[in-house]
Amino acid sequence: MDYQRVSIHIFALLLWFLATSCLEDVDFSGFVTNDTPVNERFEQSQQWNRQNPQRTRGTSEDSYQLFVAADVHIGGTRNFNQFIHAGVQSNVQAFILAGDVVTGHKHDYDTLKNHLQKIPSIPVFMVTGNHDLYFKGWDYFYSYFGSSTYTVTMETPGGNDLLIFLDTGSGTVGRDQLAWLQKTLTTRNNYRHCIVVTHNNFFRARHTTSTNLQLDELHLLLDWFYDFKVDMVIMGHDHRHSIEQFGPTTYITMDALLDGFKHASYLSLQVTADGISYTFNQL
Amino acid sequence: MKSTQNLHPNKAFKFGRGKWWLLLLFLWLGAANAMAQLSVSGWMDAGDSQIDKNGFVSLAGIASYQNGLYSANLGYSSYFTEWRERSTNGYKIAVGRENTLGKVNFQSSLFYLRKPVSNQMYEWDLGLMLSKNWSHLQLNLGGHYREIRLKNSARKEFPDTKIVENFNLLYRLSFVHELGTQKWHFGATLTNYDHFLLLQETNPMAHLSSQFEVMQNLHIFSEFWYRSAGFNNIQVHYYGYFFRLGASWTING
Repeated sequence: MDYQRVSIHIFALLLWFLATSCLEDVDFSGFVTNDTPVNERFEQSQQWNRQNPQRTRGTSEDSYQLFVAADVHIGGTRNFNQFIHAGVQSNVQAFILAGDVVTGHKHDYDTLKNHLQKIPSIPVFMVTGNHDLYFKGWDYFYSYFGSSTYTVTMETPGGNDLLIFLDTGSGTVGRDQLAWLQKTLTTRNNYRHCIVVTHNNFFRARHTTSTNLQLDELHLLLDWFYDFKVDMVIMGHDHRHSIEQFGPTTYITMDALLDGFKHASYLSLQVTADGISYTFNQL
Repeated sequence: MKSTQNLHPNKAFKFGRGKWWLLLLFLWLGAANAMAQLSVSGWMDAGDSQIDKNGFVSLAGIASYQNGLYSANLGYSSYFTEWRERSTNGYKIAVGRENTLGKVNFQSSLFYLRKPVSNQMYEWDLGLMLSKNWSHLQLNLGGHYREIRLKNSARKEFPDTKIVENFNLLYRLSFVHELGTQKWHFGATLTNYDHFLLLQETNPMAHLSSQFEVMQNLHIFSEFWYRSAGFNNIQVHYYGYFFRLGASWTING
């Protein structure tokens, strides 16, 4: 086969790939540019945090339940509806969405907003994933749901728990957010338990084409979470669940809740005075 | 619980007795055998990244010993920045061989890298690298196994705790061009690793380089490296950069 024919085949394959695969939900400009850098998003998140009351959730008992999902990728809402329905039935204290909640399109953000308005009595806490940022998605996330870097205090009679939400949608925590995290972790002693929620999975449990955090940033986070005895770190992004224990911290990477995904599951967390237990619930 | 200040104690630079012995062994090997070639390279990096509040400076060196087809390398790197508990960035030991397969010549090397992460954890890596040079192109391909572990003191409280990456692909593709006199070389490289930093294959770095032959056995080189985050997430983001300035000296050969 001569060089020219090979070139034509490669070009045709590329064209086919660009024209047919997944392209509607992937913003390829992200290979070369970033609409809102992580430090800028962090600054906006902090501004939102200053202008809005601290997020808290009180319970009348020492034990409570949280439902966690990741990589829902709305568009489709069948699995998401099941997740919400199960949570309402279980009387959870909050829903947590660990990023890639939507595809980044405005109409998908609208769909999410409409669904969440149906459950006003249960708060939903979420962070951005890379897909949420496609198509200038941060603008919609911020205007609909506010901050992507914040803390939530779960108040129980026996003590408070700290939930820390980190924005890793750009594949890095970033300088400013790291400084905020370090300061936030110094308050860890005031809480019973500490859970960190973010999107980008820390560990490469299997080979995929997706990018993890940079190694030196990972080293720093592992060290801090060890030092401050963070109980649990919940992540998404990889679409297949894995569990790692490192020192006092359990690192959980979630299955995707994406419609049509064979292994779709969500996590139920049972938080008690003694600790945090978890169960994966397959859909 | 540690305070913010306690996270960043200023540790004095230490170069242990064992490392001096290894260095002496290298020098002796080089001097003892007239066929052998001993060379040393040293460099300084200065730059910035998302985890460095006020930039960083890194110093590193590699001593190489070559005898016939075989070679051995010893390397040490230190890293000075605000957040690090330890100035030592890594130790590396590698053994290599020149190979011929049919008409193809290539180099292979086996390396071990140990990186102290903090006072309570470290990383170690074991890898294999194959290298092939053409007139303008250099290709390195390999893989490595990584573990991040707690040190013995911390392991008493948390036994059997480690993070494992069974295999990461390592790659480096460089285009090199000589200027007329052959004293100057310029290059452009895409890679996911450096001497003391082995990133996952989905975190590529790029660098531009130049090298000048001062004397036949002395070269100076400079490099500019750019690091990005989130590239394969199609949400690329600046992560860091650094400049490198160094020299390599072939002591005998």
